[in-house]
Amino acid sequence: MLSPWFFLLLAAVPQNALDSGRQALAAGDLPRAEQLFKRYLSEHPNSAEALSNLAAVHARREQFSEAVALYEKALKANPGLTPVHFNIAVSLGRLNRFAEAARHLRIFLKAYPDEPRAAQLLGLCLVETGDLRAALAQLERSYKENPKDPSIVYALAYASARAGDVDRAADLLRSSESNPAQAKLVEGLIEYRRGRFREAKGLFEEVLRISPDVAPAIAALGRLELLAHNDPEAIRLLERAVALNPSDAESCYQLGVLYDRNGRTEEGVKMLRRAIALRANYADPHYQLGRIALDHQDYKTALAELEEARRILPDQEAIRLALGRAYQALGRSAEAKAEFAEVRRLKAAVIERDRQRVESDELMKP
Amino acid sequence: MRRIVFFAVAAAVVLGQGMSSRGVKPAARPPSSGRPWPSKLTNIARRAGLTAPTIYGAESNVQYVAETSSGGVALLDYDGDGWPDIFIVSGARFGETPPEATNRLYHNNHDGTFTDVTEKSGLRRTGWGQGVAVADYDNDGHLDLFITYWGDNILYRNNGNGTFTDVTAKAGLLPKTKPAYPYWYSGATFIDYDRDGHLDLFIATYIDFDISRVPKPGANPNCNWKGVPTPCGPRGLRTGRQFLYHNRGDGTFEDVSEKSGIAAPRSSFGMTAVAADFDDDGWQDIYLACDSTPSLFFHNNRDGTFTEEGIERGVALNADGMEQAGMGLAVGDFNNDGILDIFKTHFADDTHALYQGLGKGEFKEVTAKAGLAVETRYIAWGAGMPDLDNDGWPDLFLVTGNVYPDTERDLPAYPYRTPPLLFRNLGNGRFEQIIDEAGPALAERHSSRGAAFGDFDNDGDIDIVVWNRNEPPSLLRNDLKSTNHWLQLRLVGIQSNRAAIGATVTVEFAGRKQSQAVLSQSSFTSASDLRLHFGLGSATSAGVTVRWPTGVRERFTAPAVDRVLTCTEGAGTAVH
Repeated sequence: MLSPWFFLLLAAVPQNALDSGRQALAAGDLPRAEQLFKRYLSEHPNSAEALSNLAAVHARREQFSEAVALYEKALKANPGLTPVHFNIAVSLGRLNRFAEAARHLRIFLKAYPDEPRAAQLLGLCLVETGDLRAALAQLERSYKENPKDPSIVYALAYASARAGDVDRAADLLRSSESNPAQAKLVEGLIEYRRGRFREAKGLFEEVLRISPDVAPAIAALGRLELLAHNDPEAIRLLERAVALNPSDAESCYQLGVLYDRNGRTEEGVKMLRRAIALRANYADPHYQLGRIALDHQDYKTALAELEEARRILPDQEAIRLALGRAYQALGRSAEAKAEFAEVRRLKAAVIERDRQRVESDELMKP
Repeated sequence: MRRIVFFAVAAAVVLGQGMSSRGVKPAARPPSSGRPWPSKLTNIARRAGLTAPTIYGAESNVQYVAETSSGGVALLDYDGDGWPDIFIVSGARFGETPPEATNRLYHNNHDGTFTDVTEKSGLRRTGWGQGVAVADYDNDGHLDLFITYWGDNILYRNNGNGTFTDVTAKAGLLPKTKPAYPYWYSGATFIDYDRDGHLDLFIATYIDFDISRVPKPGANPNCNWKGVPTPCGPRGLRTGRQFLYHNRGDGTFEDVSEKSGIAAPRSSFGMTAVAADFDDDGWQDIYLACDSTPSLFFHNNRDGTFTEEGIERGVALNADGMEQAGMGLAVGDFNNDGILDIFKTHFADDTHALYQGLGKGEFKEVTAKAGLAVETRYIAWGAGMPDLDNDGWPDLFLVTGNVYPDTERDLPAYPYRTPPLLFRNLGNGRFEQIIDEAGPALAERHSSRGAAFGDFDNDGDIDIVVWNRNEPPSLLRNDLKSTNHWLQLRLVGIQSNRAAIGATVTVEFAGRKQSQAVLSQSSFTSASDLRLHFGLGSATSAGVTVRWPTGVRERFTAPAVDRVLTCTEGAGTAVH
C-alpha cells in the first residue's frame, strides 16, 4: 500500500522528456520511462525531478540501492524537494536501513505532519531499530486514524509486546489478521515479557519452522540464550539476526555486550558503536562503552561515553555511578561527589516511593 | 507492508534501559582445574551432641517474614580453655512455642563432642532471637555475648565461672522509652570507634515491623514471590535504622546514634554488620549488608562521627548500580595483597558479590571475573573466607536455604532446603566450585542461615558450625589430608580491647601477604572463633604484623608453624 511512487507528482515540467517519462512511468512502461528520464538528464544533469523519477523507476524494479543513490542525488540538487524524503525512506526500508529511513521520514513529517502513511512507516522503522517508545507513539497515532488497517494493528501489537504491554499486545493480536508466523512471533514476545521463557522459546522456534529467516524470532532466541548464559549460541543467533537485519540496533548492542564478556572486546566495541550509529539517543551502548573503558582504565573515553549516556538517561543510577567512578579516577572529586550524591538521591527516591505506598491505607490494611 | 516488521528484532529486556541484575542466570562453568581437593567436610552434629532443633517460626504456612530470618551462631571460647564452644540463637513460634525453643550454649568436651550447658550457664531464653556478636566488652578476659532480638536485645556478661548475667538494663542498652511496637534488631557488632580501649556497640534494625499492620501473604505485590503468595517484606514495609552506643568504660553505654551520624541513613533493611579498618587508617569502619536497599559503609571520621560512603567506596551496589539482597558478609583477603576484601551473599537468581579491596577503603566488584557468577540458584546467608585446604589462598564457603517453606510446592526449581556452596580459590583471582570432592556435608540440604568458622577440634584446619531453621545445627568437621602448614593467631589487647576486636593481622609467607580482621560479627549475624587461622601452603615460616585497634602496628615472629601463636599487645616489635 505504500507505493514508492506515491509522491511522484512533483512540479510539472510540460512538453518535454521529463513529462513524457512521467507518463510512461504511470503507464508502467519502465524501459521507456528510464530512457526519457536519462535523455532529460543528459541535458539537465542536476534536475532533481528527473533524478527522483529515475530513482522511482529503479524502485519499481526493486533495485533499491540504485534508487537510493538517485534519490540522494536529487536531494542534493534540491534539498527542498520534501516528498523525496518519503520515497527514499521507502527504498531504505526495503534495504533494511531503518535508521536512515527514520531520519528521512522525520524530515518529511515536519512538512507533512498529517500524512498517516509516513507516520505509520516511521513507527515501523522505529520498531525495527528498537526505539520502542517513539515507535509506539507513532503507531498509536496511526492506529487512531486507521484502527482497521491490519498492518497498523499488527505493527502496534508487535511493538506493544516488545515494549512489555502484553495485555494490549494480546488484545490487538486478537483483532489483527496476521498470518500464523506473525501471530506466533507476537505470542512469543508476550510469553517472553511474562517471563515464561520456555513457552516463548517454543513459539519462536515455531515461527522459524514456518519461515526460517524471520530475524526477530532469531534475535529473540538469541536473547533467550543470552539470558541462559549460553553465550556461543547467543552469539551465533544474534549474528544471524544482524546479518538479516543490519539495522537492528538492539541486537548489535547485545552482540557488543556478548563479544566483550567473551574476551572479544575490540569486536564488542565496534558492535556497540554500530548500535549507536543505528539508533539515536541509545544510552545502553554508551554506558557499556563507558564500562569497558573504565575496566581498561581509559578514563577519558569512559567519561565521554558516560556523559553521553547521562545526557540521554539522566535518572539512571547505574550510569551516574559509573560516571562517578570515572570522575573519581580522573581526580575530579567534586564532580564524582555530585554523581554519587545523585545516585543516593535516586535510590532514596525509589525507597521513598515504596514507603509512601506502604503508608497508604490500602496497602497496609491487614 | 507487514513484511517490514519481520526485519526487526525483538526487544531487549535484560540489557535494556532497565539494567536490572535481578533474574540473573548463572554464568557458564569453565572447565575444572583438575586439581585434587584435599578437604572433606562431614556433618558430625548428631555424634557431637548437637541434637536440639533450632526453633524458628512455623514449619509451614508461614505468615510473617519475622518467622523466616534470624540464624545467628557463634564459635567462642567462653571458658578460656583453648577449645571453641558453640552458641546457637533460637526463635519462637506464634501460638504455642515448644519448651525446647531457647538459645543454647554447648561446651566443647575436647573430644569432638559437646555438652549442652544452657541451663547451667544461665543462657536459657525464649524469644525471637536474631543475631549474635561476641566480645569482651568489659575487658575482664572473658568473652561476653550480645544477642539481638525482635524485641529487647540482651547483653550477657560472662562471669568467668561458666555462667552469664543479663546486664542489658544496667548497661543502658534498652530503649529509653518503650517503643509502640518492638524493634526488629538484626546485625550488631562491637567496635572501638574512638580507640579508647573500650568496645562500643553498633546495632541495626531490619524492618520497622508493626505486626498489627502487616498485610497477609499474597495481599499485595510485595507479598508474592514469582506469583506465589509469601509473607510480606522487606520491600513494601518500613525501613529500619542504626544505633551506636558508646562504652563509657564503667560497664554502661551511652546512645550516640544521632550525634555520631550513624542514625542518619533511614532507608535501609540492615542485616549483618562487620567492623574493621577497611581503609587502613588505624580507625575502624562499619559495613552493614542491607537487604533490597544499598548496603551502608560508615567511614570513621576519627572524631566520634561517621560518614556513610557506601556508594563512593563501591560497596553499596553491584557493578550495575543495583541494590541486592545483602544478607551475609565475609571479610578476608582472597588475592593475598594485604588488603581486606568483602564477600556478600544475596537472594536466588542473583550473584553473590565479591568486592576486591583496592586500598584506602575503595572497592571494586569482581564477581564475574572471579568466576563466582556460575551459581545463582540458591538464597545464600552465612559466608566466610576460610582457607579450608590450608594452601594459603582463602576459599569461599556459604550456606543457603529458601526463606519460604511452602513455595517449593509451586516452584519446584526453588526448594526450601538447599546445600552449602564451596568455592576453591585457584590463586589467580578466580574461584571454582567444588561439589562432589568436598565430602558428604556438601550434599546435605537444610534451610540454613548463620555459619561460624573455627577449628573446634584444634587439629589445624577450619571447621564450620551452621544454623538450620527448625532443625538441629550442622557441625561440619574438616578432615584435611594435606601437608600444608598453618598458623593460628590469638590476639590479646592491652591498650586495645582485650579480645582485640577490630585488629587487622597481616601474615607474610612464601612471598605472599594475607590480611584478616578480628571480627565481632560476620557471616550471617554470627560470630566466628576470634583466633585467626592462616593456611601457609608449604611455607614453614611466617611474619606477623598486627595493627591493633589503637592504630599501633607491631610485628611478631612465629617461632614455628602449625600451632597457635598468642600475640600480646606490646610484646612485639613496634612498626612505624
